[in-house]
Amino acid sequence: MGHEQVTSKFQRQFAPYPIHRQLYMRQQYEQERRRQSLVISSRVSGTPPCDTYRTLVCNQNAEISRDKFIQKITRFIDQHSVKVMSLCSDCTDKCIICMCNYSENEGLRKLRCNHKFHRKCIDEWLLKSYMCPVCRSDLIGSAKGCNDACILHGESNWERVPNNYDESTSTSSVTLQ
Amino acid sequence: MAALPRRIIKETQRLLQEPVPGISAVPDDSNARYFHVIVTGPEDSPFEGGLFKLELFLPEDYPMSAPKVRFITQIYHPNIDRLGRICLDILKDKWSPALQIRTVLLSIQALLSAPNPDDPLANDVAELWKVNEAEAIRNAKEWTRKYAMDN
Repeated sequence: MGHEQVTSKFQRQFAPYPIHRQLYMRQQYEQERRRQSLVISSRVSGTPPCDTYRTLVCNQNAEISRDKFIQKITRFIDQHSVKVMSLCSDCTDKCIICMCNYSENEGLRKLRCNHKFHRKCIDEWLLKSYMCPVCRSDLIGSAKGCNDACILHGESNWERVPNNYDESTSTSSVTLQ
Repeated sequence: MAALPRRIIKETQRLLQEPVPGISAVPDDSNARYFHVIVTGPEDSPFEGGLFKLELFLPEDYPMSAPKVRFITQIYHPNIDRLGRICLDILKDKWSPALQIRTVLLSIQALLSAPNPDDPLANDVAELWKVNEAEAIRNAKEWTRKYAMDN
């Protein structure tokens, strides 16, 4: 099964959940696949799977690591959800993923490296990769990020939004461009 | 098929209005995700003077996954195999949705200027490129004359 098929199957299966939950489930899914392929390859070669014990310990600690992982993801992704309140008149910046300009009351997400995108656009990418599309810094790995200037002018026009913020419930209509 | 995403429409418009020098990419009449591409061989490379045809396809989840690109014109290059498949990191694991059709095609053109025999796709070509570069370049020029100049 190709990677793309796995991803799309995954997206269909877990799409209703918030992004940090989806990322966590994807990690678990991939871990399980790796474990299974290890077991299968050890069966073929006749050698016992060397990390069975480690896997068991992993399972015991699954609850703890699950919480840790969600914490980590939450820290780096969900706290950085922002919403455009107003744009200055000379603000012509756009989301590099969909190439559409930002407009008022749209849900955006700012990554650790300060790069901003439409929430919908970057969330779709985060299910595939933990890398910032612009500077390639690792979103959840080491603490190094790039210090590029913000895409939008200043931070005063931004407001934190809760994780369950839903654009469809936002009062003003969202029009692209 | 679902409606064409706005991004693809924008990229196509810009490709047609402000084409990249030395590169032409035209969408197919019947499929807006399929592009007919022509890349000119870069100056000071063994591919100079050649016109190389490629095909480029934007998959359903573009820009979340990379465009599929393939050389149609035969080319003697260590990172391009007989089927025209290209070994280029941004088409695989280094893909980012910040990249575009035009940046991909520019990277492919740059690959023609800077073959990388240490990361080969066509093993025989890469081997010759390493042990006898002069002969490899002669072959590349010969293939360019033979396959990329008569049309």
